Amino acid sequence: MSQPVQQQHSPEIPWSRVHPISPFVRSWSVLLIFGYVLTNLSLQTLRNIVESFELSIGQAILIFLGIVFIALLVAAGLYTIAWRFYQFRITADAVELHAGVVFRRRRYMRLDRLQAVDIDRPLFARLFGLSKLSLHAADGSEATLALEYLKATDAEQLRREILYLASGAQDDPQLDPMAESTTSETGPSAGHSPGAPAANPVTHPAAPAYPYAEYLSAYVQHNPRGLTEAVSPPPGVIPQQITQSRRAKNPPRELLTIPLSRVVGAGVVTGLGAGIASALWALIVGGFVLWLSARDGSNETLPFLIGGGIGFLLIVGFITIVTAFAQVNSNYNFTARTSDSGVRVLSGLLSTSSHTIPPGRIQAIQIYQPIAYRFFGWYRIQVSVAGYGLTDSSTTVLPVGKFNDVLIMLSVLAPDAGVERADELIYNALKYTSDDDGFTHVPSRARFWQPVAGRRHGYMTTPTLLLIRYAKLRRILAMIPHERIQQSTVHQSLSDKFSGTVSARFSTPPGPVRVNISNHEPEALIQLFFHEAEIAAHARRIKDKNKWMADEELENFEKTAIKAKAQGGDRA
Amino acid sequence: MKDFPHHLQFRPVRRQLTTYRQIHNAISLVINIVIFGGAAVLTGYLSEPGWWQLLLYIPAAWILIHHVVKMFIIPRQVRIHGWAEQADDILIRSGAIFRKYQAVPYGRLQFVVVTQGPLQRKYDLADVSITTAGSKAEILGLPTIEATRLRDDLSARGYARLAGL
Repeated sequence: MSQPVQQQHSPEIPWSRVHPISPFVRSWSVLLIFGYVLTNLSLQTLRNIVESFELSIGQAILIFLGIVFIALLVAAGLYTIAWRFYQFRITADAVELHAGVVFRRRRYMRLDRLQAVDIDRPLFARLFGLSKLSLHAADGSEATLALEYLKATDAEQLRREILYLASGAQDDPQLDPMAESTTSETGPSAGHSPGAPAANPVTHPAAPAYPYAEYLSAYVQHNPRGLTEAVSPPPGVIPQQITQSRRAKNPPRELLTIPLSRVVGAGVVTGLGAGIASALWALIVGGFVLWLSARDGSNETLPFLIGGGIGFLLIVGFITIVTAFAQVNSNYNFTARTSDSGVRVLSGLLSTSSHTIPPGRIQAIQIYQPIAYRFFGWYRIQVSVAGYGLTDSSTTVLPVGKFNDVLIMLSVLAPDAGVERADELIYNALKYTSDDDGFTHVPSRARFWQPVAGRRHGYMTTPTLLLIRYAKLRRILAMIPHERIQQSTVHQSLSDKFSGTVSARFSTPPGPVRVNISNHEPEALIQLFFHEAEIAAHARRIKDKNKWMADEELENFEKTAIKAKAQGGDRA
Repeated sequence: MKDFPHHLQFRPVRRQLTTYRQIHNAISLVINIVIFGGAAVLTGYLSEPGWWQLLLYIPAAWILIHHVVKMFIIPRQVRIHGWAEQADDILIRSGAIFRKYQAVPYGRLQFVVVTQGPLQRKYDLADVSITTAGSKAEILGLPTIEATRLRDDLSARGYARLAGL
């Protein structure tokens, strides 16, 4: 399924290099260890060497400094070579990276396969004002191309250029994206303050409070295809004449931010959960040991109990603090935005990260409510994106939000649900279980095999979505757009054999979203199997959205979307 | 799975697949029994005798049962295994006891691979594996000519109906 590689512009486009200090930043941990070993070694052995060679202290110091100097020189030389051999360029339809001296790596990533763009600023890189730009593609086994490291402003600008080129919106073939990207620091984008998202407190009005019912019915009207229409040029990057020819339907807008109190609250709650869980495990093991020792005849159990109690509290405290800090660190100042280039989420305290998912790249969505979140009415949203795989931090697009926030995020992540009140649909799906909630439930004869979830485990379809609900104590709702389903499978497991039910799996590209339906009534599920197989065969939306802003693609999309909808409607 | 529609015509795979899989099963049985049984005997020989030594034979016994049961299931599995090329997707049926139906739309194909080992070549058998972005489906034991025909057809249809991710 390979298409001819087009490299029309490549000869003219020069190669660029990353920031000169980046080899050092990339290997700082190695350096640290090396330095530690060196100093330790020298302190221990210096005296021996001095004695064995019968040198004076001055000579010894001189020789030692000489060795350090040579080591530094060699390291600097190696770094320069590594840096010189690490170069990249962005052509009209691809990103190319050449790296390595001995083992040479040549990466060529087609822009129309681009799935997501991340900018990460690990703590150490951040000290130098550097960012790492990662491009995720659904293209072969090695799905990520990382440019390490770029100046923060350059990374921002490159991100926008790459997304712009990938969108296919380019009207001007003369546009040379590299012309001003890597050279100009005070370029046209300087006024937009694209720098560190967390360092710069965002200067926007507070997130608008969308009453969700109103908002969702509005979203159905003005954003009927999810992300596709949210389009406008990133200010500053695109030359003026192009800006005018682009269709700017929706300006970039702030979707939501998460207040610090909620981030900390969620961190503490999650940490407590993890802490108590691990402490309980420790208690079980400790209790077993205690029981064994008591069996041996020693009756001194009281010290054990006290020790166990203290240990329990220590474990709870330690795990809670560590987990909570990790959570707060990654979710601090969480902001979600939408623009022409898709959904963008930014967050982080010490290390910051930003993920941009262009339109049409989200394969499936999952609303997840851990047990601890239920007391506060919080939810988490995870998405499956082809380039991300299972990585937890990048797949979470809303770490902790109220139901209102969930709806706001869904308005840009999910397609129109195809029902009149999408908010009610999701609210009921998450909150209630009744006979007439629209879901197909696990039949009572198979309830034994779903001891906890029971009848809550079920599925439902709307004209655009397949919703699957899991679990009872925590709550999970998976939402899979019909046209994203890659392959449908219906099968019988051992438990199905006993209860005369069937199970199904609707595969999407790998990600955190669950896609299995277990122990359901055969007739209905087999019908769903054929229904989904047919929709999957007819849906051509995503191919059409590879370059989501190219004119012909937009038209194509319109036609096929209408057709697919009509066909889906006939069947439904 | 009685509720699955009966009117669908599945094309069967080659009957010789049974022979091949039985040979495969037998070889696997011998190798595994030699390894696990040998290990059990050796450990029993080297350690002090006791009733617990019987436990050492559990893996070997499990393997024996597994392979013997498989011996009876294989003919049924081969009889069931088949595929149906429909207008928009390919349906694959497998499993004697735990029945499974997979539907792969042509437009979702990422690549189609035909594989054939030396023993399979002797019986003119080839495996076709169909990969999409999120999953993999396999048809085992096609005649070589049919397998390459299927691969080419699937690729052509996949290209014509390309739907991407």
